[in-house]
Amino acid sequence: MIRQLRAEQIKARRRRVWAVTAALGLLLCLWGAFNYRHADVSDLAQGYSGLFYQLPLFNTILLPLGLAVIASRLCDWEIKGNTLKLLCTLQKKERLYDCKLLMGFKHLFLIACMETTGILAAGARFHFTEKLKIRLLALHFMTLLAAGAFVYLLQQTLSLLWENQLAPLVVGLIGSFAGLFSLYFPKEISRLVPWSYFCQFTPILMDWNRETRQQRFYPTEFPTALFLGFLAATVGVYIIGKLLFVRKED
Amino acid sequence: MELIIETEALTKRYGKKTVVNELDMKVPQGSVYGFLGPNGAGKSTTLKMLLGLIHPAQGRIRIFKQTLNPKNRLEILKNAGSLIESPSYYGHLTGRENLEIVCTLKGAPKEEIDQALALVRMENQQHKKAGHYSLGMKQRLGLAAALLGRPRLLLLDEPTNGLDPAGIQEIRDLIVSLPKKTGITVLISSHLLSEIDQMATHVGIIDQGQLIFQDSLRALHAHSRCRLHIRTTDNAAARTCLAQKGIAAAEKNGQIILEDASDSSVTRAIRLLVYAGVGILRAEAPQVSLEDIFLRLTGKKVSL
Amino acid sequence: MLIRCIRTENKKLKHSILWLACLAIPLIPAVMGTFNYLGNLEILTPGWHNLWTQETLFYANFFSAPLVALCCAYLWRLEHRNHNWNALMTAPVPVWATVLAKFAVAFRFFLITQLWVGILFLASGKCIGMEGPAPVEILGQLLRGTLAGAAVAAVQLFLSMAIPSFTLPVILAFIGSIGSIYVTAKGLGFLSPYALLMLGMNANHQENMLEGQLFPFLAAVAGFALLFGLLSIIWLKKKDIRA
Repeated sequence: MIRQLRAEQIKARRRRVWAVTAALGLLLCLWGAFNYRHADVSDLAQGYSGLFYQLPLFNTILLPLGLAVIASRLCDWEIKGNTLKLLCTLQKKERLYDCKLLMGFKHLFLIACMETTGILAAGARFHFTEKLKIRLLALHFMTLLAAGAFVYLLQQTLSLLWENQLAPLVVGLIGSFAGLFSLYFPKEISRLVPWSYFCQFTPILMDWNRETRQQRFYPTEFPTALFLGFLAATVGVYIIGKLLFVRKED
Repeated sequence: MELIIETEALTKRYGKKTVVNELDMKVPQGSVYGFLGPNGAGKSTTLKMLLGLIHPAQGRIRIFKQTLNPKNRLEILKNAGSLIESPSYYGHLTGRENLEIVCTLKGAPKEEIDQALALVRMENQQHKKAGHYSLGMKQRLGLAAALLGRPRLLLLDEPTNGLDPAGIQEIRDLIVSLPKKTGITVLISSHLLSEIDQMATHVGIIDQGQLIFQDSLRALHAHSRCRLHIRTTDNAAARTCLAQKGIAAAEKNGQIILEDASDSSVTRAIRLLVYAGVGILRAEAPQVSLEDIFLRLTGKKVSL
Repeated sequence: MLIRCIRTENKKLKHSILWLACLAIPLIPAVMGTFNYLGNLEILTPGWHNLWTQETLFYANFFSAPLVALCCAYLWRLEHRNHNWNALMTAPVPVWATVLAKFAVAFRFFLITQLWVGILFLASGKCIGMEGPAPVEILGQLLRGTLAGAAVAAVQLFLSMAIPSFTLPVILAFIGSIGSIYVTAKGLGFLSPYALLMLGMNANHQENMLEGQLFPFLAAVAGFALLFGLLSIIWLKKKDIRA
């Protein structure tokens, strides 16, 4: 497995997939920080809560398509050079699928790290007066990884199954769109849209006062059961995706 | 004779169409087995089944005396190098980096990269991107990749496609020399009869999914020395005379052609003609080309 | 000449799922925007205008530019693969015709998508019992947005031609769109083709964002389309084909 991962590393040379990852992470950080340029006292007093509320929303907009692009770039070189048939004589298709998955997760992990760093940096730069709750930071990190893992799994499977990379990207675009829109719907409906899960686990709610035009963030219960159910669904998609890829003949 | 590859009733269907039909292939150890057939005959499909890339509808494959199954496939293929259809490469990586990937996956020592590069004479181009290679260079890169890890068996699907004449000759020399140097067994497919004639020790001919001939190259050539061409002063008289005695003969291009060219038959026919007063100008047994053999085996012209 | 080029471009798109994407993606804002409108009636003033804001909310801001980018990237992907560059550049047609044909086909995709957006808007409005005909301004805004699509298409065609990657130009359009929200907020919308799309569609605003600025808007659209069209032609003429 280590050897096979090293082979994936060699393949990634000169493809600059990390540039896409870095651009996504940077954009998310800037977008998050952008709102705090003219922050007043009340904004700063709930600065972290505000970020923990808003960043999942930005993730929902950006990451479905972003991860689709990363998955497509990591898989496309196999299709362009028709190397799948060569690799299939050298490694198990299951392992190839797993290696590619780990490569993708690495990029997802980097994005999550950048975002976390961004939160801390914004807190320091704008002098948030709110005390940082490590539990919320950890939850943010974890739920971003979980939701991203699901989307990445989906995109990688599509990118490997479809020679034409148009289809997976269309799915990514639809995902970004549908995920964002579904958030304006009741929970029962939005939970049917897998791309909305970047936001589903946010343990913070927002109250907007129309008269004072003030936002007030307040904590709520973390939906543990939902989270575990989502993880189970992710494992299910992993098994199905891998099976589809292994059974594909070319 | 030890067999490296042995298939039993190997069959592949796509929908209702049978692409490979009950193939019994036998590749002896140390041979260069030429797998011959026109385009679309099922050569690539057979090779892909041998590598486990596609699954046979029925039949069995034995490689290195082990029956191939999904579990032991990779263990067996560790000792086999392959080059199937168009070459596989990562266009954004250099030739050397491409080989590094294969080397890493096979767990072979890095020094073999240099040896493989030298074998296919690519040392000077190894740092160029594979995407910018000519088709011939890509083909060599594929061959170098197949040679990594010191395989005992090499499966090559039309490896001289896209090479220039000098390159073709180089690859041919290389393939012929491999079994002698390293004891490797080579299975090479081609639609070019002359190519197989120059390289192979054993031949299997496939047409429309069926193996219509399989034996040593010598046996194939033996097929060909069985006709005698005779030029006479009077073909009509000669034919009547031979026909009376029940000797099969045809006339083609102003020559009498004896189907049976065994010594006794030839002596008898010539004696008959001389007694009948037919003048014999020339009698020869020209070597029949592989094209003619193919034509006789399949009953149709081969597409070259 | 141009007609022939367009016809070949059409042929190349046979068996492609691009149409499906152009038809499926506008369904999301139409359906969800309408439900959103119904769900927020206590905050919104009912009427065609607010239905329009709900439906274009995300479509114009985030997703229409990547959709155009996807079409453009696909048009060029066909050439980037299987040595098609050679065939394309040796075809007996001038470079400008090739560029213009691709532009025409990409723009037609967007035109039809926008038409579909319009139809869905009217249909969804009628479905929820909206009274009277839809205001003409809204159809005007749809038209403005469509024209702005020409600028985005020209830019994206250039990017997809120069970058031999399918996905990179699409993500650039997406990032460009998000960045353009900031640019628009600063009042510099005319400097970004993606912002032109938002301004044109009057996304998420009730008041006309282009009040008295229609002419500069059109000039900016034409400017971007011409500039990147010319850049494409020059680039193609100078390029060494390495397919």
